[in-house]
Amino acid sequence: MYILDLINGEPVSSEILVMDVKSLPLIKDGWQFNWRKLASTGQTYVLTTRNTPEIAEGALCLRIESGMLFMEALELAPHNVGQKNKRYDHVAGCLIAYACRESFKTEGEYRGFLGFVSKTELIHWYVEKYGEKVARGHRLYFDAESGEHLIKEYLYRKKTDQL
Amino acid sequence: MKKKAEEPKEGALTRGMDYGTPGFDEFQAVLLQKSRSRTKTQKQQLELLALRFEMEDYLALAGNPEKKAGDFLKDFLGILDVQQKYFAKYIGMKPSNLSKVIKGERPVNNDLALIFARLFNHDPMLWIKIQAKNEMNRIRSAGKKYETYSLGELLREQEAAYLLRKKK
Repeated sequence: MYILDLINGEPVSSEILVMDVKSLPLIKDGWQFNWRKLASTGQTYVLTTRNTPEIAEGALCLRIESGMLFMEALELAPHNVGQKNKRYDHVAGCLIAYACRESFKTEGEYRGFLGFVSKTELIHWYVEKYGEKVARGHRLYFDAESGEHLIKEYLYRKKTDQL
Repeated sequence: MKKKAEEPKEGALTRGMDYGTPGFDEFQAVLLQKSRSRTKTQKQQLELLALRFEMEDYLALAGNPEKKAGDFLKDFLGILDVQQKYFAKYIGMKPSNLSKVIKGERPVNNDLALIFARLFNHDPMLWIKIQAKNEMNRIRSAGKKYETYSLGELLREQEAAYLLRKKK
């Protein structure tokens, strides 16, 4: 899995890890979600580059509710936000693709569905960039087809593929 | 011209889901309906993809209970509702030999790995790696003390033997 270094345009090998509570990002470091609190509601993951595994580039919390997988929280590291100073691109794409992949492990009729609530101003961004579908208001979802597409694009992409 | 969606200005990209509310129930009901309207082929594709991820995770995780390559093959055939004897005939194999592959008594060789990968649309190395992992675990658990091997010791012993020969 690769994210894109916006400084030199190079793909950077990355991985998504289950993180223990003590190693989760903190609000005092500029993160918005309280990740330590989220860890008690679901499974938390952090995306890091292989060269700097101590730096979280983005974080994800997944939770199963009523037999379905939900993206309880998704956040980019403060240094990966904005137009001017953003360090890495494709962090959100990789984390969402990972969440979609996890949705295939759900047993039952909701297998392959990933639900979440978007921030109002981001609904258009999600739909346009990742092909999400809107079900009700701010509640969005990925189905198996759009999930598979994202998994191919973000998780199986080779270093030599164009990012 | 279509306006391009604006990139996020903040790191947090989601809000909390309102689990248990009527709106949430309605949301799930919509998805349940979509799930139930999947065709048999779509359901099979979903199951096949889930099985492929299970194979990948099996390789990535350490310490999980053994699952043979043949068990995965049996799962693939089960999802597709393909009988073993027809599958054996199709790939030019004796049914008894296929049965041995499924039971783990015969290996999935490179030829079979390429056939399975072609049929089930994934990387042939998945089959080879799963077998190699299982075999490695079996050898490791057989009790041989691999930690007694040391490159330093090998080089020291060679050096000592060389010096001894030189003295003679």
